[in-house]
Amino acid sequence: MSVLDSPLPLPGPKLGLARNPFRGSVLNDAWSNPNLQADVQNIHQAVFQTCCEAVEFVRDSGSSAGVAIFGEPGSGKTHLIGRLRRRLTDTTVDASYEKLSQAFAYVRLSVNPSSLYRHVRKRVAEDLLKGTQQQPCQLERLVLAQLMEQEHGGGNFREWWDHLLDERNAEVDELVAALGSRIGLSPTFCRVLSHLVLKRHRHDVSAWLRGESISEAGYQALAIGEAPDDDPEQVSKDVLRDFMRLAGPQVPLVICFDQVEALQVTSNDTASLFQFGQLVSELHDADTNVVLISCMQASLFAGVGRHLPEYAATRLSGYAAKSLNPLTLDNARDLLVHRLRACGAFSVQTEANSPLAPLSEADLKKFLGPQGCTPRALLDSAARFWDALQRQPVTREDTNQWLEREWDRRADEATRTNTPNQTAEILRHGVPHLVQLVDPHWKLNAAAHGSAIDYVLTGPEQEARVGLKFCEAVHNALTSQLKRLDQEYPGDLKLQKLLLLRDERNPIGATAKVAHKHLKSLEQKDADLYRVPTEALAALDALRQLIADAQAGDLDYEGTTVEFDTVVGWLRNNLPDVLKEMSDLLITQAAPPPESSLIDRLQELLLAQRVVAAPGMAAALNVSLAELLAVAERRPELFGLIRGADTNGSDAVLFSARAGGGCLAAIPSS
Amino acid sequence: MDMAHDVSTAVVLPAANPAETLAIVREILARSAEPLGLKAVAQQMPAAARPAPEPLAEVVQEAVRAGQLFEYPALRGQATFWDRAAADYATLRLRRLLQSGPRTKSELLGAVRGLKLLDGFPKAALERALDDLLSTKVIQKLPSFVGARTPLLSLEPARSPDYLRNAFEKVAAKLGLSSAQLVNDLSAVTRDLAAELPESVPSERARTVEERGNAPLAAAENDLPVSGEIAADEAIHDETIPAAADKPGVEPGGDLDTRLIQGALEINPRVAHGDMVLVAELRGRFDFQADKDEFDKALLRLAGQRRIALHRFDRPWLISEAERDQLVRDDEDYFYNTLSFPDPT
Repeated sequence: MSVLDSPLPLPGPKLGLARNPFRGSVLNDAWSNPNLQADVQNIHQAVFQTCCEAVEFVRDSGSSAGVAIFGEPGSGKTHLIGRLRRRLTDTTVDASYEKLSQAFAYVRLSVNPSSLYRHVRKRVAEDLLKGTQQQPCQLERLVLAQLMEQEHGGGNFREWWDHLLDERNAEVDELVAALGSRIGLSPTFCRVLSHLVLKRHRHDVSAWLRGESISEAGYQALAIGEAPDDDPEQVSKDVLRDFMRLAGPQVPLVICFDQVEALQVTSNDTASLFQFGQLVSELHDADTNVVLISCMQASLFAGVGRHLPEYAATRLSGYAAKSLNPLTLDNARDLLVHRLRACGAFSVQTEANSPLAPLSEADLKKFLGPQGCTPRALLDSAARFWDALQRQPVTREDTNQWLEREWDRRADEATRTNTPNQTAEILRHGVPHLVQLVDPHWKLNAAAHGSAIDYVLTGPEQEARVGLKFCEAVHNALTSQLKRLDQEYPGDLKLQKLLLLRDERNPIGATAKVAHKHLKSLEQKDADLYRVPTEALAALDALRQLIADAQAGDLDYEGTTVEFDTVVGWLRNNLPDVLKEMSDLLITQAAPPPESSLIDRLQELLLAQRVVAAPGMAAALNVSLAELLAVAERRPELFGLIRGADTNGSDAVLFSARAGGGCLAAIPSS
Repeated sequence: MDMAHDVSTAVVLPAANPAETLAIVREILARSAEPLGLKAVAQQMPAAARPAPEPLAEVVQEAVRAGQLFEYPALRGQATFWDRAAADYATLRLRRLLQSGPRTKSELLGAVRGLKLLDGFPKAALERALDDLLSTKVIQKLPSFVGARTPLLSLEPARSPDYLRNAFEKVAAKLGLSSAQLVNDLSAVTRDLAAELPESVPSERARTVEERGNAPLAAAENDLPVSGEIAADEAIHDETIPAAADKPGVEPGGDLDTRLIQGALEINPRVAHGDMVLVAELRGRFDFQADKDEFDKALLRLAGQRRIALHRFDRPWLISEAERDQLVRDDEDYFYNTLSFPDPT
């Protein structure tokens, strides 16, 4: 019998603390900053030490290193990386003006393996760009350190930096170009670094580094050519190699991979593990200064041995393979005491003259069980004990209720934070999960390397072969994508159907005449363009994140890991309508709603005119006023509509909801 | 993930289009320790997904062109393929050759160069592969044998039995003695050497046990950097077993608990430094020596004594009953699939 099933302890005196000190143990990101008092340094200290030694090994030996960390769900993998992040990155303001000893990036692998490099590039760039207005980011410090070395600049790093920006501002482009030649950086990367150092065009610089699409004006501002229509995975691989070279042999680039199991589309998906092994091998061999720390569930351990080629396994864990073991009695005691201290439960402790009070050593041993347990399980046992002491009514929801609440929270968060920059990633990762969820008999495979499409969807009886293409490119890249599809579909691609998916917030401009020509030609061949609504993207984002956390064992409901199958079952029964519609398009090839092209054109015109009278717009779009107003009312996240006195809408005004305050500010106050 | 799931069942697909065929081929080649001919690949494919020879060859050749697979020299007139480049195969063979014991560099390179599957593989690339293994400490350079000048290459740190055996063979050859004669002489020499050891000085092993108490992996306290980890394995083998046998309630001299710890170390020497061992693999090693119940109880007992750590497997219902039987199950119906040794404290 589990300790949690045993009768609750007899109610004691009320402890007078509003918050249960043992609740809240899941850390979703190594950059989130939990109460440092709650981090118990001696838990998994040996593993932590090994990671630090791996960094020094790489610095000293000039050879990259891989560390694999295995642990049960709740064993503290992300907490460990968080501690490592704090050790390896600066936490004080002044320290930010020192040369970097090592660069750090955290990569949660909630991604489809077909876009693994793009995902890693994005995450590494995001972390290297983390900083504030006052403090330089890791990437700036890497560039400046290289420039300082190149110019034989000695002395104080910050003074040299100020001197460079104040006195030699005009030389920066030239200095960075020389740096690029010296250490072998690509010219485009160098150009972007110059802008970074001079703090120009920050938005476009960070978008380019993260691999996101940028506007034509952005390319012009950065003075770089538009991205050629190369293999985007290869492009990202090259940028990652540039990051490594920029760091230089004495500055290890530490990349921590978390949730490796989230790469899997199904629980027996072994191909994704193979692809992760390829990634690790290639990053390991790309330069001599990389530390790759890969955290995964202990249950994946067998997969590493069985499904990874030996060369990949060697690079994954060549430096060390470490398990996160169940807590020892001392560790467990420290963890609970730290939690009590962090919430200020001192008075209670003093009364009982024991740092564990109101818990006893016997309680502690009972929580820990005969085999020991994970930190998450220990905290849950302690939390329930605390609730009982506080005489809190134990109103435990069932898992379905909890999942419903969790879904709402995640969907709200995704709606709030969703931007078009995330669309490609959401679709690539989310669509395979959606298909698997709705009908596991359909197979969605990544298209062959270099193909014009992204995925091939095949029916259970081979009755359909549908190509999916996520069209998030802009300008020339979009035109060349559509041209290629037009040439190859259907014959060369051997498809029965082609579905193009594009964020509806990215209308294809009327000036893109060639793109429209190819699009029209494709539509005549029975291809469809599905303009994915924002709410579908937000829901898909929530879905993929929920599934990834379930895969990784990071869904914690009161100390109990909510299982992957439970989550999948719940999602099957509670799939939001907007995702049901999307899956119908994919699996049953229902036609996209006819109004989607109207939405596209309306957005296009509103981007140019900002605020327009509805009747004029209806005439311009060649639709009835009633139809136009109905579309605008159905899509409040895209269009603003102000009706006047006329119920028919003849005095109604339309504006772009995406333009937000900027648009409304254009309306005269009178 | 379904850790005990067999790959062959994981890749079964209803029919074969080129992408699916390629995925299956890649899985098969990934599992293979050697490049394979197309016939061998086809034989390992699930029947429902097995294409005719020609389409299969087309898919594989296309993958070779795309850089996803690699073609190797033909064996018995049949082209061979693998999912890894020749450099990786050379690396694998270098390591495999050293598994049988230390060799000199020229012996090692000569043996690999003679492999048919590495016909045409440049000598410089082979030397680079060896250098990589040396620089990453996968292969170590050991002192030469007595009377020789060429250093040895090995996967393991220097082991005195290898050197003694080599010296033994040299003495036998030099004096023209039979092995039996020399073994007799060697026994006498060993007795004399033992007698010369001062009795008051405890043996290194006994001293270590005394100093480090009963922890089964006391050696891991000195959690050495990786370059030294393997070097310490030998010592750990020696130190672990007596320490485990000293535990109260455990029969000294080869009891099951001790043999389980020894078995885990033999399966994966890096377990002494934090790595893991599959319970199923350890169980396989103890077939016919301990029944399931006895084996499970022993591992749970060792975990209870904190001499090993057992790791829970959280998806036991996803695997077959036969696979579940391979795991350890406790009284609370938790399943454990891996074990490691406690952290050094």
